[in-house]
Amino acid sequence: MQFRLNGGDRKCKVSPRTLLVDVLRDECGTTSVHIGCDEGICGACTIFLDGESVKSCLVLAVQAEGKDVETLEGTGSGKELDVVQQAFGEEFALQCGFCTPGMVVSARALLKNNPNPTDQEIRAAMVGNLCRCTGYQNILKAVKKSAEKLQSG
Amino acid sequence: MADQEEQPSPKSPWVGRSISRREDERLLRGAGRFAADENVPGQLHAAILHSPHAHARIVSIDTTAAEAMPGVEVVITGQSSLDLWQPLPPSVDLVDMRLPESYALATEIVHYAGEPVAAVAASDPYLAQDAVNAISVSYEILEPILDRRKAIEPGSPLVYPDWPDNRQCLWEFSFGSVDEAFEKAEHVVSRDVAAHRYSAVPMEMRALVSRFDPVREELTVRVSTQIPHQARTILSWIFGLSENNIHILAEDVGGGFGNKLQLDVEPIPILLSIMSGKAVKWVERRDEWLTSAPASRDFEHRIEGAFSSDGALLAVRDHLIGDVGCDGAVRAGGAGALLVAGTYGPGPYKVQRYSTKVEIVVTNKAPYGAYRGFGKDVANLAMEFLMDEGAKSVGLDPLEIRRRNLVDNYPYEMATGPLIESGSFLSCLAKVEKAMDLPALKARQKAGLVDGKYFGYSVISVLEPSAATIPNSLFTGYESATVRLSPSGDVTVLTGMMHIGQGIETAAAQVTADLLGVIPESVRIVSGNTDSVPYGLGSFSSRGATYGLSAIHDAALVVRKKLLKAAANLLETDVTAVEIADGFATVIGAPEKTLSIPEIAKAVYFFPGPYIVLPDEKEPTLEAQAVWTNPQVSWTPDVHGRIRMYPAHASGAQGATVTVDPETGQVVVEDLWIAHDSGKMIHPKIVEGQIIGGTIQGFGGVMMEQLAYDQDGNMLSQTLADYQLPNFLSAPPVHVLHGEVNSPVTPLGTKGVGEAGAIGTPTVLMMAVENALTPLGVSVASSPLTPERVLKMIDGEKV
Amino acid sequence: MRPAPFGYQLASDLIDASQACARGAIPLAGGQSLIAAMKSRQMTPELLVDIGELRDLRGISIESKRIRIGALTRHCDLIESELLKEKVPWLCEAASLIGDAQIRNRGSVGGNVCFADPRANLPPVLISLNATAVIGSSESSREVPIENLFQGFRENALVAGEILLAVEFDVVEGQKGSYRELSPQLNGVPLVNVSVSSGNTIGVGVGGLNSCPLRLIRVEEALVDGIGPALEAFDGEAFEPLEDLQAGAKYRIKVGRVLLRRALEEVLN
Repeated sequence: MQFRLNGGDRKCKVSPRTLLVDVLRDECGTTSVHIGCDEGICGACTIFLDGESVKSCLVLAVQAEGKDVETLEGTGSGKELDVVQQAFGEEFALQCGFCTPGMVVSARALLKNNPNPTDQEIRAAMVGNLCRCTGYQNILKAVKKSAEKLQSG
Repeated sequence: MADQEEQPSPKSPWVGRSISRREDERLLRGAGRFAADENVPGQLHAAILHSPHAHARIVSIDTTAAEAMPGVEVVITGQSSLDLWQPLPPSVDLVDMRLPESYALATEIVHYAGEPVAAVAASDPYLAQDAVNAISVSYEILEPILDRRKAIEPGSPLVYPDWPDNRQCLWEFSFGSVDEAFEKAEHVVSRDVAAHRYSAVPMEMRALVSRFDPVREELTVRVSTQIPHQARTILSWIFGLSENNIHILAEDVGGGFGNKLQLDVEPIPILLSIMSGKAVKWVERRDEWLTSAPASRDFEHRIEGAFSSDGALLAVRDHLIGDVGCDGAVRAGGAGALLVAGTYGPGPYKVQRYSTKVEIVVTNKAPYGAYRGFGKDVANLAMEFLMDEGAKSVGLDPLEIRRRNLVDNYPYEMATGPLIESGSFLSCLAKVEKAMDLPALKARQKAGLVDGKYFGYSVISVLEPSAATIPNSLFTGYESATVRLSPSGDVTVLTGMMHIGQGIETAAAQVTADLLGVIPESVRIVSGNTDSVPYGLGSFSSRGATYGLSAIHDAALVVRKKLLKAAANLLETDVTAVEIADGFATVIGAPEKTLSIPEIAKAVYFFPGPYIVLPDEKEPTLEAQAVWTNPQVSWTPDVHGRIRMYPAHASGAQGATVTVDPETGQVVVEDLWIAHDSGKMIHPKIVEGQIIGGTIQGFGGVMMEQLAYDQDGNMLSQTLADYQLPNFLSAPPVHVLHGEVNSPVTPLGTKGVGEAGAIGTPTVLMMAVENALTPLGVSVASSPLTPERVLKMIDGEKV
Repeated sequence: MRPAPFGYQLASDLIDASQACARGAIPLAGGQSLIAAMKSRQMTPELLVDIGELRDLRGISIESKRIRIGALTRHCDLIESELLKEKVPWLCEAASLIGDAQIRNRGSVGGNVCFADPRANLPPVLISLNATAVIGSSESSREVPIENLFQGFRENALVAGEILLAVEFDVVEGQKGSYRELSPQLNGVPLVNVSVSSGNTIGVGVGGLNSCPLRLIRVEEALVDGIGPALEAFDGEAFEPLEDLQAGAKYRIKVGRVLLRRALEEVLN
């Protein structure tokens, strides 16, 4: 199958049952996409597919044919962190970092659709990303800070 | 005498500040290197076959179909691998514990549903899974032993036929005239309370990539672990390979919380790599984790207390029974937690008459390991409920009875032996009381139901011992560090600690930067590499701030002294007249007389070199190694047979507010408070993050997480739909109230931090729900507090 | 786990898809339920036909006071629909409680209905709205009351070659409704869920109380006499809820009754 990954064209040999998460991790080297469960609950595999956040463990690789995939590796220009990543760092919204790539993608997706979310909207929008280390409190702060920063331009 | 005063620390440039975390630079970019991220060309993938039965004899295993499948290179069973490895070595061996002989693959008898019985290495993970499914095993099902009480009844069938009974360990201890105190006391109360089975369940399951070079007999394993050095030693023992030919690499670990302190399943894919001569990658599935990773909690107490008429706690008797599944000493070391529970039974209270009976029972369930709290949570549950019972009997406010009994004089020697070196239990309690505004909560409760819901609250005290040093175990008490200042002036710190999310790289950089006068960005931390790092014990029991950082401190101090001497020589002044900060050495009072640290380092090593710059220095390189042990540890039993395993004790208090819907049993946790004093905080935000994380884990554990078995011993919790982890919508706000009374026994004044929330949150929530349902006469004696169970409690049904 | 091997076909049009289904293929839309079930190997279909490109099956429209929701309409689109937010906000509420944002970006109304899990969010609401399932194949088409689509645990009543095209229901001016569920945590799979809609008559749909979503006809009939009799009718039903680690049957029935009462009180008062 053929698809675009972080702005570049990719061609991969897959079988129908190959999951998108496996193609990304094993064939394409974008190991920021993590696997934390088998039932599509934890959200550590969250990526952008045609600009929308999806769980790549619940997408067959063949379903990404011709589509645009974005993972955390495609961040920003060069080595710069974007507003969301910076806010996560400033608010200590990560500890072990395993859930972080998925969290950042979900945060970006939220802020694209809802630039000024309430606390409750943030929690609801990110409920599909589990974290075992932080207890979510600092992640909430990071997303709020990101929203403020993005609003003030 | 009241709590010790908080003393403001002398201002230091880096320690005490919440700087950006070093770990974040790679983790935020998704550039972390977790064990499953490595791919070796030509690697094979391992898949494991697990027993579907809790207790069975393996009659035969037919692997012919699997062997014939495409891509399959190696298939092993317990019998076929018997000559290829040794049984698993014990994790902990204390108090005459019985140690079952266990291989990584079951050889004849299966002791829990989920136990590995066979394994396959194939060219891709999909094929490996298909092949495992094609292995056919014939079992003779045996009666599973699943109930810890029935298991210790005379005549119970045995988990291990060569044991006299189903106890892995029995420990009884008594200090002071306990019985006499009970006979004479004005108030005698008792309480039964229990916790169910749950565990750490980190986001990252176990994973490894193993490579074996048969010519060099060299084994290299990249693995997700909290204990890289012990992993190397364990593998040396299991495979009979020279330990100096084994290399363990652990970079990023997606959470451990105590659950990655053993290698009971990991040897299986490692054996496959030895047999195939190829790299073998194993990535555990979530259902495998839930079924076979170490469990925790799962215990019951009957605790009794004797109180005087003014509420003084005179004596305590506790009977604790814990279910360690098939093993809490060899496959994993959780049996130690129940001994810790007995040791910390008295909690933070001044009671010098104490007796305990701890029964550590085996059943046909998964092994039992360490999880945040490690028995301190077990002790906390019983003691805090007892204090409330005492308050009711004596007629005192629950906070008042605690005030009258909390330790307030330091150092304080507990009846069981540990020495509480410093603390602030009273002020922690006062902080929570004030923050919660208890009078307002009382009034709110008095005002009655709102929207048909009951409102409740509770407050408890918390003792948080840390930095366990366990004799006869893989978790003894030392830590190593090497600090190296290079000729270019940057710094490398080798630490035996393991980064698992707790910010050790950052804290280590801060401590080193302070001592060497550099900035943290120029300090690189190396951990998880057994070739470069001197032997250390890894991350467990919140020992980083004490053992880990103290070793780094001591090593950095040696380098600092040489650096100052060199600077003084180069700046032509006395050592006492030089200060180092921000990467420069400067003569005090003469800012123009300055040299950068890179300049000094280059001068020491090369231009002009040590005989000029450090003429009297026998070892003139700017490197040093240190090993730190804690003077408070004592393994020599005193006259009462007591030893001291935990050298650091943090103080705390917690509070909770909840509402309960009596029609559905749903509990909403409104707020959680936690006052916490863990001595010097190297990085306040990291400390806070640890506390919040631990609190939400405690919340999840008591409210919704379950490792449950059916009546045949099958594991019912196989997915994250079954094992509910707290999500963004459920996690309540946690209000952290900091205190900081330095430890008198560590060089930085630190104690351990990280377990407090996990220790006290289950207790405070069970009590808050009981408080809410007082009008209905409900007693909350067990967890989880799922809606169904709470509704049963309300309806007076058996739970 | 990974799915067992299967064949995959991308449907170019409805006829193509229907013919594949007639050969035993299972339609793949968002895959949020299907792929999850295949990963755990609870389902091992031999052939999947991907209907994700069939544009005609998307979209929400209204004509002569009858709303039509295409089967491939995603939950996120359902929630954003101004039309639905205005006319049947409790349907949007039910959809907003499905899984999470990522799942709602992929999951479809058709998938939620056709997967026929008794705990799905949308069926109780659609049942209470007297919705019709519009079913098509390369041969023919038919319409059935949506509750007839559910035959058993994850078993729908589509015959070989049939695909759900849309769900339709009438809107009545001043219509009210309620969706209530109890899940282990918010946004989780419900243990039990209930929906009540008032239109020309009152519709009551429940999930989690049997092997498939149910229309509570006897409750609806008894409502003429009031909420009390309606609850008595509920008590007279013989439910056989699923049981799992989260709760047993007795609890689900008990809470089902509480949710029903609360929904009725909300809608009728």
